[in-house]
Amino acid sequence: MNASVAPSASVSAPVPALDLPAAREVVERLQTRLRMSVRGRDDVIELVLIALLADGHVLLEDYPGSGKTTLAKSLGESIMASGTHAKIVPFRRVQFTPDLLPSDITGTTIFDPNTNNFFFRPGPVFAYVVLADEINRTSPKVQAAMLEAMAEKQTTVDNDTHALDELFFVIATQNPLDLAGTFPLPSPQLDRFLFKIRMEHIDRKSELDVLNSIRERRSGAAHELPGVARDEVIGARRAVEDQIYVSEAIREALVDAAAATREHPHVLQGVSTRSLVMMLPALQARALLRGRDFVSGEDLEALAPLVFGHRLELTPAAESEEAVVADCLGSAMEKLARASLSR
Amino acid sequence: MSRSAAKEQGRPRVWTRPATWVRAFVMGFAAFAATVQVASEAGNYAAILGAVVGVFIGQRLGASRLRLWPLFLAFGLLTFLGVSAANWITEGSLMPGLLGAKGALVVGSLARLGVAAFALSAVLRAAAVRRPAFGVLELAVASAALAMLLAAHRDGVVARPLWLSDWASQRGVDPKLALMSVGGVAVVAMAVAALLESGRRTSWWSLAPLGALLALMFFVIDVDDLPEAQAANDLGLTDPNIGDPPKPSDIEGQDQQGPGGARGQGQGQGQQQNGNPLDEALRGGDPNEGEGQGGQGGQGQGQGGGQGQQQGQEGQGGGQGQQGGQGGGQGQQGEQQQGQGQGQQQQAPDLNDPPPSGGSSPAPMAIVLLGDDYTPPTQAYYFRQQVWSEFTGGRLIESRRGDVDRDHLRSFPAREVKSAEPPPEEFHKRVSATVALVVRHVGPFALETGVRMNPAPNPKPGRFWRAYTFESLAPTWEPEDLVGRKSGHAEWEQAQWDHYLAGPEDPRYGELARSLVESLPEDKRSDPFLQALTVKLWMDEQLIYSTSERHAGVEDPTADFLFGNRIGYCVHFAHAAVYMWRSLGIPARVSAGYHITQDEVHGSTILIRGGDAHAWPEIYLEGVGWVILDISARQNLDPPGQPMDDQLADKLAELARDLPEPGQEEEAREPKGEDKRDYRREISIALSALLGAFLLLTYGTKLWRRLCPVWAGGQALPRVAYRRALDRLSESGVRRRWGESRESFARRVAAELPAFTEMTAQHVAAHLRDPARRAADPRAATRWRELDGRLRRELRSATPWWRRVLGWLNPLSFLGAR
Repeated sequence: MNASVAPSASVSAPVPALDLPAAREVVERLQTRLRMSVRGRDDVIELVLIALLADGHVLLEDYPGSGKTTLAKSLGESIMASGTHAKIVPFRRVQFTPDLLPSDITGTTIFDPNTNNFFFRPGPVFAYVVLADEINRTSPKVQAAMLEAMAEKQTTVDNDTHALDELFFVIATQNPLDLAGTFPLPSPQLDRFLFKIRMEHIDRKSELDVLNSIRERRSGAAHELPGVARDEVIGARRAVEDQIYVSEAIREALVDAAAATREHPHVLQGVSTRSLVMMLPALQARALLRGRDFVSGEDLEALAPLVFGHRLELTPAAESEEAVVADCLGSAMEKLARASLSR
Repeated sequence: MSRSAAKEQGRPRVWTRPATWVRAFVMGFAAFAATVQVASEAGNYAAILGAVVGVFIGQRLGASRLRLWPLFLAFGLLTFLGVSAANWITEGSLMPGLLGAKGALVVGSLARLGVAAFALSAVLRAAAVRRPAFGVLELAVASAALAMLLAAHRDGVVARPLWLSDWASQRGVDPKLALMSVGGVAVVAMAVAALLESGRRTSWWSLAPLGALLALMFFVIDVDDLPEAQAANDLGLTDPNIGDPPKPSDIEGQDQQGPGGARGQGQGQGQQQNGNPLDEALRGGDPNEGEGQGGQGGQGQGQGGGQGQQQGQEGQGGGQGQQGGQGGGQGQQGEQQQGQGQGQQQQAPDLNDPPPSGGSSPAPMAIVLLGDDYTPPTQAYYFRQQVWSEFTGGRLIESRRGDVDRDHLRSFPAREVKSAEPPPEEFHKRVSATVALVVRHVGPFALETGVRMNPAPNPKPGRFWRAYTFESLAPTWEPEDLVGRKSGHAEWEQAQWDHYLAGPEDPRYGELARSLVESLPEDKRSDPFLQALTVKLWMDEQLIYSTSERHAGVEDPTADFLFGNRIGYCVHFAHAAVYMWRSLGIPARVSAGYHITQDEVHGSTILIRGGDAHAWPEIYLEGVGWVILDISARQNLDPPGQPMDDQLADKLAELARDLPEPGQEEEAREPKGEDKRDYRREISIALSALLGAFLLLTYGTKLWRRLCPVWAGGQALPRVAYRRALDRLSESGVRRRWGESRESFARRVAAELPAFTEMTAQHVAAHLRDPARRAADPRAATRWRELDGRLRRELRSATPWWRRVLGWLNPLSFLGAR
């Protein structure tokens, strides 16, 4: 019973790293597909891909009907299972409600009268891409189960631990305005998310584009584009980690910025070291997406607000997260930029 | 809600805003203040009206959507049109024909001043509404107008504009208070306007400190007790027999003083006693001083006093005509010197011998503080003020030629002046001193021979006219030193010789002189000094001092004196001596100034009085310079003077104490003044050198940073080439913001400078890329050069030329490249 049905990616042979051009090609393929499905969200697509490559999860803060499901779904559908992982589906969506139970997402143990045995029926987390819709509407117990899965890539059901797929990638959403009857995520749980992305309404041109392309998208034009294999994504992850160079100056800037958040007068609690550890691959991933083989100050500048923003506990006097992050980033960025002119 | 508020702001309620009214009042007042002195009444009203209307219009325009520079332009044009129209109206013939001359003038000033005031206040207001910083300009214009109104005031005598102060005076109000109230009201009004405009909730209590300041101004600035320029009053100089010109009949009675008479006695007496030993004669006073004082004091006294007296009379006589009987002690004394100068210029023989209208005056003329220990060899201090060497037929006058009397410093020093031909250091001692002149003098005087003068701060402007310091090479020779020398200077040219030997054609001078010289022993007969001394001793013997003998009204008063009754005073003596010496071929001249005997001097302070004025003859001896051989007459016909009034002496002593201590402090001060001047020059040199070095350094840096990519290789190239690009951008005013990443900056300017984006990418890659993957690119230099060329072209099309020129000129533009 114990290891009977647990699908396990970790036991399979490690996927070899791709070389950088191949990795970039994989990412571009994904990007093209997503852009076909989701119009006017190129920035979010890029961030989601960065998170995917950096092995992090994403919290989207936006309004209903802004395309997040479409995004998550087409991401999941773009990733094809690679042979052995038959039990793992590409995409699952969980609508979080107050009466949801942890077993509803992790899966549950069921007695099979035919075999007179209990077997584990995997929940929706056993997928490459999971859309956790309105994650703040469910009880803390369910949130905790979800977050365990996110952090450990495993679930524990009836004291049995089941490993999730290595690719496991969560896109969670929450509505920033409609907070009645919600259970806001405490900061340690927020810390599990690599990015918190605040989505704005798309611009007029993109919105028109969305309306114009309804038929085309419904007919599944994107499906005709080549997808990527799960192993390719894993390989790209490895490539990012191994081959995108992070200069000492960048690491110093990262640490300096983090230290600045801890000393900022409007910050009660600065960012954690873990967030820096999580951020490093994100920087590398962004460099890959931008066609570089090294991390630049620009990556730091672009990602720091998304990584730091939801991790800071601010005093009531603080203006906004963005302002504080920009404040904290300033001197580190300046130092980094100036270093390039000095010998 | 916010939109409606903005709308409300956008449509300013110009007419109901109190601040606008206050500003209109202030600007109207400023226009009035600026034009009241220069314009007619109509122009005045036009200016006020124009300024007031201009404020309202400007307020309105400032809130409009018009850009600022077209406003400036339009109002500039308007002013030009108004002024031209005014010119046309007043200068043409049409308008005066239609309106009459007066009407045309009124209309013209309406056009000129009204339009100008309107344009100025409107444009200032509009600018201030748009940019609060321009409000300062408005304030400055208003205060400048007020300052103009009150600028005519001098030395606290606040009386202008006259109509206002007259109005105040007629009502028994101190005009100063009235005028200061005007300024105070204006300041308060401006402050009120600023408060109303500030938009913040500023308490009206913030005006309280301003009020307190104003009150303080009225109390602290002492407007009731004006300093009146009556220094003479505290000196007791208004005493009629000192300050006012005494009537001729008074002379015998009251105008003699003891101290004045005492001077010169040692000298005169010594010469007479020792008579024959020529070489001993000049310092005769030295060994025989005590004796002279006791035995022959009376004579000496009388003579000295007379000399001084005479000099004073001469000046006063000259001055009197000018003054036209105006009183005032100080002015009188000042004129005295002027009169002397004038007398020479007019070259009228009569002026040599002015009527003795006044006595020798005890009025203090100046205070001299000697900074060095010095005792003159003749026991008399000679302060030379003027040199008379040019013969005009009737007398000697100050020469205007540039090649003679070059040792003499003629005018007051505004900065350090040095004698062009100082006497040799040998036989002379450097003596420095400070002089504070009590009364006006036409020129400075210095202990003979002054070689350097510096201005000095006036220790007490109420008491002293001015002050200066001098450094002299004062004589220390012994008479033996003078014997056996040639006369004149070896380098003198014929013109100078002729100048110093010119004399009257009257042969009697030469005959007399030669007959005197013949009494000398054969071997000494050709010695110039001994010749001169012989003449001098003969004159000492023969002449009689009297100020009442004027020898006026003849062609050559000197001849009238010398070959007549031989009664005269110092000017006659000096002229007679010089003529005779010149006839013997000895260069000679007359100097005028002050003469103080050793025993009049107490400590290092020398008090010079009007009675000390004197003229004396000098000869030029090679290697020594000008040597004074003063004549002391055998007999003085003038009655002895009275001793100086004790009270006056006290006051003069007090005066002297007002000056800094002589001695060390004086010495300390003089070099300090000198140093200060030197420092100033050095500081300015150092500053300009520093500035030059700074510019050299900065432009050098700019040039270096501009050029070094040419030869920079491999590793450094991306850095220096990118730095050059940043320099270029900085010169155009494009600079990376603080904390901005290089790529963000490049994106920001990418629309206009696409080449820069590429440069940034290369530069950042060179900095942050894995060093292992950085391959040496042989074409990097070419690529950077191409990129630089592209960037330059892009910059040229993106920035106006003047911006780039300013950038080139800015020595510190590279600091913006970061």
